[in-house]
Amino acid sequence: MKEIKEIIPNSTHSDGIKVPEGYFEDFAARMSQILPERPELDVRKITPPRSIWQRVRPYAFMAAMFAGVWCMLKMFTMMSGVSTEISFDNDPVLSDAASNDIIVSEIIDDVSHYEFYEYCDYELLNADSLGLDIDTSKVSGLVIE
Amino acid sequence: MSTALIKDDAELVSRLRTPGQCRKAFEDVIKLYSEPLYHTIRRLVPNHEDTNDLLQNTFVKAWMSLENFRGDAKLSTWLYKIAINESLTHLARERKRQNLSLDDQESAIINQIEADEYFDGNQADLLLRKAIATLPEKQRLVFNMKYFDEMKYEEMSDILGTSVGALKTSYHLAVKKIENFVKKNSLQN
Repeated sequence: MKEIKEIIPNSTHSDGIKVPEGYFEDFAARMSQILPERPELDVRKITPPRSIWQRVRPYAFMAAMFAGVWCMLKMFTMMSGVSTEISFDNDPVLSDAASNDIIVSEIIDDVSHYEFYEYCDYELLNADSLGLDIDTSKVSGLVIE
Repeated sequence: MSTALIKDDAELVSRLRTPGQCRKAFEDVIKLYSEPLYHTIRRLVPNHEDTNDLLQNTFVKAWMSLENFRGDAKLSTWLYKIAINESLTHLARERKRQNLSLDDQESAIINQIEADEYFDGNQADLLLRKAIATLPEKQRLVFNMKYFDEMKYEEMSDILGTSVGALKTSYHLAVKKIENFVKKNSLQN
C-alpha cells in the first residue's frame, strides 16, 4: 500500500483547518453559559441485599484462618523433631531421680519380687565374676513372703 | 486532532463523579477536548458554522447523559462517539432536508471545501481534502482517524465498534480511492 506522501508529495499531513480568531479561547466560557443546570450525579450506590454466604463469609474466613494457623504450628512441631513425651532419656529431673536409691526404693515400689531376685542374681553374678567379696549369707537369708 | 485526545482521564472522570465538582470538571473537559473534537467534526462537516453547532450539541449531550458514562471506556472515546454520531446524523438530516443523494451531497461538500474561508493548507492539502470527501462515510472516518489523528486500530475499534481487520481493510480501500482520485484529477489539471 502506498503512503499518502507518495500519492500527494506536497501534502503537509495537516488537515489545513483553521478557526476564527480566539474561537477556542472563548468556547469553554460560551459553553458553560449554554449548559443547562442539572442535578449533581447521585454517586451513592444502592446496596443489594446480602446473601447468606455473604453474611457468613467473614466468619468462614476467620475459621479457616485459625485452622491454618493450627496446622502450621502442628507442622512446625513435627518438623523440629522434638518429642514432647517425657522419658528418662530426655528429662534430666527424671534421670536424676532414677539414679537416686532412696527415691527408687521409697517411691518406685512397683518392683515385683521376681524382678528383685533377678536383679540380685545379676549383681551376685557380676560380683563373682569381678572377684568382689560379697557375703552371700546375707543375700540367701532374705525371707520371701 | 492529535493523539492528545486519547489521554488517561481517570482524574477527570473521578471529579465528574464527585458531587459538587461535576460542573467544574465538565468545564475542564470542554477546555481539553473542544479543539480535537472540533477537528473531528469539521473533517466530516466542511463548514465552520455547522461544526460549531455540532460541537456544542456534542458537549450538551455529553453533559446531559453523564450518568450513562460508566467509566469502563475512556472519556475521550465516549466523547468521540458522540461527536461522530452527531456529525453523521447531521449529514443524513441535511441529505433528507435538501433531498440529495449521496453523490449530490459529495459534490456539495467538495464545493463547500473549495469555498471554505477557514482553510490555510496548500493545494496538495486541498486536493487530499477533496479526495477524502469522495470516500464513503465509514472509510472517511477511518482514514481521518488513522491519517490525521494517528490513532491505533484498537482505539478506532472501540470507537466505531468495528473489528481491527475490517478497519485495516477500510483504510487500505480509502488510500486506494484517494490514489485514484488524485490520478484522475492530476490528469485533468
